[in-house]
Amino acid sequence: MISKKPIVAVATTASLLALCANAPLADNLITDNTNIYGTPGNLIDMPTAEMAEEGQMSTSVSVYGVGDNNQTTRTTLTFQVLPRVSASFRYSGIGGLVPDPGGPTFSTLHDRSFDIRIRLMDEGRYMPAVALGLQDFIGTGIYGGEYLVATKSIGPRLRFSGGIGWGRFGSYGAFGTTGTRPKTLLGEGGIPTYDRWFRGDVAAFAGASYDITDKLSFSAEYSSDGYDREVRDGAMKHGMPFNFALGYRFNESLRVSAYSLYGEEVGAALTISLNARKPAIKGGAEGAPLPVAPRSQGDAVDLGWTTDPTRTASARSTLESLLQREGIALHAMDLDGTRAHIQIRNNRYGLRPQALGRTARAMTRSLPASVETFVITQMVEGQPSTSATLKRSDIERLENAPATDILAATTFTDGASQPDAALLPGAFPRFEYGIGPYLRFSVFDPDNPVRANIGVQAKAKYHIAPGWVAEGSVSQKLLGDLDKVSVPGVSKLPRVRSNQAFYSQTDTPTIDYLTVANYGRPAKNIYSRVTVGYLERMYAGASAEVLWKPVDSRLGLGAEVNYVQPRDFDQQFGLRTRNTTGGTIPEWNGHVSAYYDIGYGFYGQVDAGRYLAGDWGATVAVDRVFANGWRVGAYATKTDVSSSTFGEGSFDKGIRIEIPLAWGTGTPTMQTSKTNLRSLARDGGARLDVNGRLYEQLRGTHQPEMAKSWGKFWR
Amino acid sequence: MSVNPILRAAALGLTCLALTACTNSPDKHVTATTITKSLFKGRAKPKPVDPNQLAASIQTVLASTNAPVIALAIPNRKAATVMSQLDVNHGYATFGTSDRRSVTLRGGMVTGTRGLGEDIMSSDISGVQALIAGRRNGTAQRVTRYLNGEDVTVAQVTTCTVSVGTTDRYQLAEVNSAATSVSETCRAEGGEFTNTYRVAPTGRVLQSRFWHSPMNEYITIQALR
Repeated sequence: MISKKPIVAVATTASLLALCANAPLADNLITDNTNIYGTPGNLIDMPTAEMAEEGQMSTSVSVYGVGDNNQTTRTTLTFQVLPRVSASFRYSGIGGLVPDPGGPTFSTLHDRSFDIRIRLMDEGRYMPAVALGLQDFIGTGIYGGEYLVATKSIGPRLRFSGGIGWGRFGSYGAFGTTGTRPKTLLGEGGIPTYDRWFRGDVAAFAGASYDITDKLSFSAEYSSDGYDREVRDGAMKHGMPFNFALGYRFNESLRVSAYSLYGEEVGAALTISLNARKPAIKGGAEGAPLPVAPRSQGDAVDLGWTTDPTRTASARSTLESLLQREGIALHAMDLDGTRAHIQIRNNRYGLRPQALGRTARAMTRSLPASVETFVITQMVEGQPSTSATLKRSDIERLENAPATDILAATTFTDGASQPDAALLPGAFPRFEYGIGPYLRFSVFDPDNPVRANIGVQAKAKYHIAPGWVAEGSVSQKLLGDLDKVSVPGVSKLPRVRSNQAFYSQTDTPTIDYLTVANYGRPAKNIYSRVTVGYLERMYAGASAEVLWKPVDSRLGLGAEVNYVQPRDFDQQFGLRTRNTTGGTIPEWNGHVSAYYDIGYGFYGQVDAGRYLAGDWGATVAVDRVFANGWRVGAYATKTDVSSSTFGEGSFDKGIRIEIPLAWGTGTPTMQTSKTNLRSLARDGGARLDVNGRLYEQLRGTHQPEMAKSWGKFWR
Repeated sequence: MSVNPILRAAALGLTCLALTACTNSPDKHVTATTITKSLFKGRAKPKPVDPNQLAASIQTVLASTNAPVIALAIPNRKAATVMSQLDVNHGYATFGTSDRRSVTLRGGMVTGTRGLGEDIMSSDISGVQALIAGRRNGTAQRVTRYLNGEDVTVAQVTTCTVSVGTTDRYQLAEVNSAATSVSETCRAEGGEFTNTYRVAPTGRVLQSRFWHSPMNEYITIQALR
């Protein structure tokens, strides 16, 4: 995946582009079309300098070739990371290729590839837009090629593109050469092919696209890809260098196209697009909050109520019911003549400023007029996170002002520094349960791209006392083929993850996890977690974590240490021996972690330490995070395991996507949809999968994160 | 149901399988059951307003409160409702319905809405309001703030030309007053809109038709008390 080096490049580009993020790029050669490699553009097999709208996530499937032998499928996920940067991940099934002598055998070559495209220059009145791209730049590089391409529009419907390319894009009609392009693979694949970039033959390509109507489009191109290996292996013929396509756009989310390739093949493609910045309803469809109830002049000096316990009790019960209406639970309350401190459990708002804003307004409607200072502490797993302190007169004065005004008037402090407030009777204990279907899937098995298990899962969570949580999950597989996921051959590492198929063989109910956890606040800015029990499907033991994260800091530092014993394959109460074919599973593993909000919508995370198999190394992750909670990221783990011991892919890497359900439904909820696309589980760079890691639970409640969606305070 | 919601649902489809079907957990609002229901139900089509029903609900609301009352209509969504005043804060009066939709008015001019979709979060209207309430021709700035698709505040800054028209009588429910027609044409990058008002001699706006958002387009508000 994206290794350290390109990440730095992306981050630098990010900071440059952020300067012009507000520039009107909207009409600057934007398209929701993709080529048959799934990258934004209106041509067929060739790239253009067009970009999708920022935040666009498209999935495209293109198929060409008739019959089983030489059918090729490219499934591509492309994300427009920034207005001028797009990244693609592709999973291809290429039919008809002859395996390399001594290499693995296959009937269809399944291959993963990554692309990155950067627009260097926007289109001007006379100047074209120019983009630089690296295609399949990590790994085996079967689709590997680099290009520099320019695109110019003439009127709203016609666009011309022309460029030069290396690798595949330099394999037909080359006009020159720049050095030699090596053919040997670095490592076991999975490493950037920097030794090949912009080397070898150079050829030119060109094409044009025309929107016949708003829905129908036509494109034609001269391709500089000779399909050398496909032709050599008899997988396809190359009759002429021209390709043609006819596209139909149903709407901004759905497109189909039919195309002809090289005078010999026909194919079809489908593109589905979503955009992180285009929710179901902008600003949300949820109901209105109750407005601020302003005090009459003179009321504020009346302290008569402080000696009347019934008035205090009535204020508390009014507040509790007003908050309940908003999906917020009043957890604890401390009220004196001029100051109220309340702790809340936000059960509804993924964007925490909205929970704060609704709470503040409910307080104006329920607390005696002399109470001028409101302190609202958000609780996470029974422990205080951020406290927001607001002046009631500011809330009254700024209700109709821009939200930035109330942000400036709000003070954020560590909730652990607040004196204890009296718990409400409903605070503990609390019991929650849920029953529903589950889906577990495994992708990129060489024999079968997608495998899955479907079943029923029951979960329960018991909040015993402040910070103490017992929880468990039991599931029953109904059908699926995860037990057929291939188990890689013996390596020099203990089998810590690669035998996942064995964990999917049982037909009896399994305990997914069963733990008791304690969440604590040992000191200011410090959070802690200790979890014991059956931590995850494969391991039992104990996990302890500590996190330093001031409420107003963009940096968080953490450490985690785990003691583990492998569980029986039937995932009931038994444990099995730590001895495996590749060695003994160590009892101890753990990491130190750094989390940083880089800015410009990027987050970085580094975890360094000892992994499950006893290998030492680090995981680097970079995420593009939108204020509304959308998150698309990539991570890579490199440990002291050699590429050959690790096996195919050289090291562990993956893509993670998190979509807040509120984006899709239009109503606030803290629920999100998480997808993790990663290579087949191997033993190197594997981490324990324990619930309740601190940073992700706390991040949303801290000031830097809340500031991003602070406009929701008054929503 | 159009293609878009289906795709959206499909995007969340894998989630659907991972969602619980039945739960008592207070933070799980979206369950497999609610998603399935909404898929089969599709997006609720706005029902055409029954004038008799609206008249009846106007009478009910007027009878149930002594506070000011307004009627609000969103022609683009074929929706209409009656709202009574909930609170006045620093000159901003918030009117609401029992189904949790609200608008905030200053001197009868809208400065904010909630629960209508693509809501106006806040506005700076002092310049245009001085012209409109004073029934004077002139040009002033108007700032309207929205949340964008990322839930980040964006301000639409427009320059508006106010022109005064004729005066006649405004008679509706409990309001009976002379009223001057005033129009406000605002231009911004990428378009323009024209709001129209009927203004009482006191400067209070009795009736307005104003640009809300691309989703709701124009909304009308009439004072009933």
